[in-house]
Amino acid sequence: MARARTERMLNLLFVLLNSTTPLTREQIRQRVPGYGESNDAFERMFERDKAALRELAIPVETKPVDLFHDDVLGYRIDRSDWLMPEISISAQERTYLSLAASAWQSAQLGAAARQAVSSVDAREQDTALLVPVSLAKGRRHISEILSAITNAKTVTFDYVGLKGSEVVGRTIDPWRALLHSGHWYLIGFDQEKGEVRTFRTDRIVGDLVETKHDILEPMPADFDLSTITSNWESSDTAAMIATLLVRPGRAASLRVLATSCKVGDEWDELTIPYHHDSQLVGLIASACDVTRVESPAELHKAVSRVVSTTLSVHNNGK
Amino acid sequence: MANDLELLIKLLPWLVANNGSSLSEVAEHFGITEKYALDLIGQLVVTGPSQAGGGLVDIDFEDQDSIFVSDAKALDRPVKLSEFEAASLLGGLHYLEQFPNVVDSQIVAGLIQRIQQALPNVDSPINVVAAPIAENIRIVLNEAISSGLSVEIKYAGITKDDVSVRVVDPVSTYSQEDFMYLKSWCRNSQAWRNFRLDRILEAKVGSDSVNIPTDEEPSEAKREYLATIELDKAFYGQLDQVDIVSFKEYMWHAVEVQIKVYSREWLVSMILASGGRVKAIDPPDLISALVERAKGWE
Repeated sequence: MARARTERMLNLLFVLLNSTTPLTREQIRQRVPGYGESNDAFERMFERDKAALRELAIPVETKPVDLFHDDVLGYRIDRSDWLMPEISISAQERTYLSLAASAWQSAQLGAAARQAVSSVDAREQDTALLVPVSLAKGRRHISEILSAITNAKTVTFDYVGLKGSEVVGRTIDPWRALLHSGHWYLIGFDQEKGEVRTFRTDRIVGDLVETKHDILEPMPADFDLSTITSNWESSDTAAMIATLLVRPGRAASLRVLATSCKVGDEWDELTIPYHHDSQLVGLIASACDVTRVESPAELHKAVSRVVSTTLSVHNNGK
Repeated sequence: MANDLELLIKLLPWLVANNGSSLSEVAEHFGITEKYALDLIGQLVVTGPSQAGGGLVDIDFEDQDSIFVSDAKALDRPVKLSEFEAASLLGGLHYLEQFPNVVDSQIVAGLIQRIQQALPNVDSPINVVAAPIAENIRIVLNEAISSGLSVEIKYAGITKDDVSVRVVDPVSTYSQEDFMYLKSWCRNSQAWRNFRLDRILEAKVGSDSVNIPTDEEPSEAKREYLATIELDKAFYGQLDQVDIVSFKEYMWHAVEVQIKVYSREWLVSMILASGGRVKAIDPPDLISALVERAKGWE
């Protein structure tokens, strides 16, 4: 931007910001140097400057100058709309803000959070890191999801469900991002299905695209995330109990899920409550040489299928 | 195009908050040259409404080592957070709040509350649910760390998927994603190890003091096992957990990826869990280990 224009716009900004009442175009022209002599030139320049300020997300209000002349429009910037309110923060709290920002191991989110910290408290400070914390390390899609949620735009992506390997295109109004048990989830309204759905981000195939479309279904004000998480744990099927035999000291990932463990000489017997086969099949298949499924038979079958598919994919090692 | 103006809008409140800073500090904070910083401040100095309520922005910077602003013409506060910025910051704070062992969560809760009071329209669309840690484990570890004693743990290992009993010298806890880890010297393996707290099955404080060889630097576990796998594009998500060395696209849906992982055992588990969607290509010992484990199913 030419220096003269920057100066003029900065002056315009100060004039609009310092006025308690909306200013008419004429008043603005008198107070801001650089708008020149001709009326046409002023109108053109002022329109451009006003648009440029708004493009920088500066809330330039347009309002009638007073109650009696609602046809005469004036302009001003309301300080409380635009600037950060004062939040008093101790040095220790400031360190915590920096820590929260540094937790993001994602370039985009980290930069946004650091900018946020200096907006809350612009004082320079050594970012003395108290403890190592890290969030969203190398995860795909998280900042795109967050951006779409804050912009209230619909997202589209291809997704593989838990059951099949079929890839299905989805159109979702994003509501929430959730980190749970080592996985990130997108929770949103599925436009096609007409209901709230949960998606694991590592099952999104390719890119997640933020569309230009405003969301159709905003998140209800009383939306309670815990209803979703408890739902998806207990879902449409009642809790089932798996009885597994595992070799002593082995199958640790199954052991941490067990509600009881009967220790034996050759095998330990584990009791594990679950809701979907998909919760256990992968874990059992991973430890299939040291695990046996006592019951239910369906779970046993599902694991057998997975193991034999793996064997045939690898040609039985021949 | 609007770069100068955007910077000036950030610069003035920053100068107010950091009155007395030097030109080089300004340049460093904004990632610009000192010459450019000087130019911008020069622009501020000559600016200000010319009439009614007028007066220029009042900056004293005769001395480039200390710049003082005494009248910023109401632009004395930073611009409000954008929703994305607020979401990032609050998300980070909500994350910290989940780890009372690592930080003082009351301070964090207070911060979140104050930011949300000041900005009633901002919200964080991020929720973090940390893996639950048994209270007795937490207490034992805290006690061992604060009193400098060793601790005996029964641990459900992740890479080998086995349960082992170890004596460790605990140093500190930290969080990564939604898990909390114990950083410690493991006497059994004579090396630094990080243990996930939610996978510690039992813990008891030992009787002897922490004893860590001084010449051993903590080092990150390395992903050293090199392998080639083929997978359906639909399973890209699996690759979040590995180092990708090289990448080759076959047909429209399949890719061949050379990866580095912590151990062969872990990779065998991952391939078995995928149920045929991930195929081992190389090295041969990976395929034989995989087939051998699969044949161990009844």
